[in-house]
Amino acid sequence: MTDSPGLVASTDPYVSRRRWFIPVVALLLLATAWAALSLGAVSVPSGEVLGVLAGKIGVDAFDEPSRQAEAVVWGIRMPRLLLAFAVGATLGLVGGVLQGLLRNDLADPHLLGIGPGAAIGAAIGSAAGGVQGAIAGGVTAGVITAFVVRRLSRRASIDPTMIILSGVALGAALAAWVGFVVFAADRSTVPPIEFWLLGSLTGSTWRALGTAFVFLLGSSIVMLSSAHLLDVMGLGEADARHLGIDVDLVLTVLLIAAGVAVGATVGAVGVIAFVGLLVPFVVRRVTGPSHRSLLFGALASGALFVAAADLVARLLIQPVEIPVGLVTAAVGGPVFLWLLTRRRDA
Amino acid sequence: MNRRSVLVVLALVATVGLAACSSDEPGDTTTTSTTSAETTTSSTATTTTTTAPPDEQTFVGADGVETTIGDVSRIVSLNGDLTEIIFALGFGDNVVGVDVTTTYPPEAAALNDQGETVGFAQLLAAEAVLRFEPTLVIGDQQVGPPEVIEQLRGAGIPVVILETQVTLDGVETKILQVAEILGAQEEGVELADRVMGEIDAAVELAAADDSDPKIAYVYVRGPQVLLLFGAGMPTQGMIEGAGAVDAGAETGVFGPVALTPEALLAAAPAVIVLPEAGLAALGGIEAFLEIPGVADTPAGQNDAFLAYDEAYFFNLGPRAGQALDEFVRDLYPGIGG
Repeated sequence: MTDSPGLVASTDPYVSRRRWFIPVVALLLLATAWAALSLGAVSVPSGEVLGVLAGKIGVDAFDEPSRQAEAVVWGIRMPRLLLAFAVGATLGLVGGVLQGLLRNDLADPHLLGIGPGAAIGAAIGSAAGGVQGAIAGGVTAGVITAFVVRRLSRRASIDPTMIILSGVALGAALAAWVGFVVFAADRSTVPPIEFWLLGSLTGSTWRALGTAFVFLLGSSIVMLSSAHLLDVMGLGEADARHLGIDVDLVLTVLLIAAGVAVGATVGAVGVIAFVGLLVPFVVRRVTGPSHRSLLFGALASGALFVAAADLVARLLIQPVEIPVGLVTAAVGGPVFLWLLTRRRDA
Repeated sequence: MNRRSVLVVLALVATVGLAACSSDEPGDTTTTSTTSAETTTSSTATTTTTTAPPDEQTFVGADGVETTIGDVSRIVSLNGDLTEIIFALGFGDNVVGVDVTTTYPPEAAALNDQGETVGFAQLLAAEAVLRFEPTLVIGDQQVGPPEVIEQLRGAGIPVVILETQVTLDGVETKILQVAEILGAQEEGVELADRVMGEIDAAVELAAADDSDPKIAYVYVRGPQVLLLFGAGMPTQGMIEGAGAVDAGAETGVFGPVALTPEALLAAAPAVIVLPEAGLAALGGIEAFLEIPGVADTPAGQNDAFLAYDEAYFFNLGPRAGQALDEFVRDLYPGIGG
């Protein structure tokens, strides 16, 4: 864990780390999934949780679940867990792609303002058509904001910190607009500003999951298939062009994908901060700079991070749930700061 | 353009295509109907007692969703006013969970103290309600988020959403609807008659005074929460019922708004009504007078403040007539002897 990344020429120091990374993350994902399905304000015995799951794959095993157990495990906890996985995976992935694309470790969909921008469209959309309207509105506004970010980043491309600074300013302005929309709208249809800016998985339904999943899957496939392109673009824009890559096209396509992905997550669960920033940052230290392993690693770790954070949000002050974005920021902020200071010391 | 980027573009086109399909899906699959709550008739017109609930009946709520109600033995009530009505109708023993703001009757408040609460009715979580294993969940249009209501219905729990009533006339509707849901129509008519009789008597009493003072309801809960209530709030019903003018509503305030010195001065209330517990948390009238603007209102200059328990004053439940009577007598000293 002490060697500085990317300087060892002959051997890949990340091979052994990657070897334990996969089983560890897989185990943690399983443990989180089990906790998310079996813990909550309603107590459901483990045997019945297993019974519900077995019943869904047509196996008659474990305890016969009660109607209540079935409703809680399959109707409420399962869509919530899957949405947490899907949202976390996508946010981790988007963070990894944006950091590669802008060659900036601090790039994050929400820091760049894409999240708050998507939230404006999502809030307007929710007034028109519930969670599906919110997701459609979020995707539209997310793509538009991604292009605004692109224009800003083109101007500021000389100085990477300028991109982040302009993104922070843009995000603050857009977050204010989310507030205007929420306060102007009918409160019985549009969720409150805490939902949009701090995120919550409380309202996860199969319908919300289904609608969001279409966008998340599509955009994730696009982003995952760009791993090799991101490696080449890491060499610098000029070198990438010399190698025959249409840099503008790649930027355009990936920013659309990022906008779609972020917009769908924001429409479904609001802005969940720090996932896109922290997850790729941590994963890069384990998997190395190759985007293929980075993106897949960020996908899995993002899912883990958000699902675990939601578990805390749900269980900390039962039966009241706190916004999941508070948990990710409370954990993510200090960890990120610690990593930053360590990097400086190294 | 190399082969890789062509693939990327193709994948993107596919995404947008899929997305377009998905957004065309029908938005809401729940049964909707335009029947308003008032025109809803119950199929069970037969007399029932509180101990023997009716077999099954349907009720169309304010959200247009038709709910089948059978067993009412385990009720979760999401609003304090509905809880009061349920208790007044004799179904208090069936209430297993209430929302965190419920303070009356004492048995319901006790549930709250014991932690038998669903939290804030506007910020529900499905499991916080389901843990009571309710056979009936009842609330008004302020409860949410809507997805949680959907989750509860998905779990097979009958959830009835009633129209939010903000007028004195609405008290009758509210009582009769709750009674219908509980299959206690007779008790409902009885209770509604009594409460409406009390309200009418108080309104009549107030009519004996020709002045129509401007009254503002200011909601305080400690130093952080200071709201001026305006039109569309239950306090407007109480103030107008007392033959007075709602100062907030008159100056164009709709709903609860953050109290600003200028808004209060513009409203120029002769009397300010406050919630008792919230005022105590702030530090009493002395502390309230230190809030900019308050001392300069007519109410501030004449020290004309009235404080009532908030649920008592604006729940618009079984105690509405009683509260209005007390309010009228406080407002016009010497009236009615």
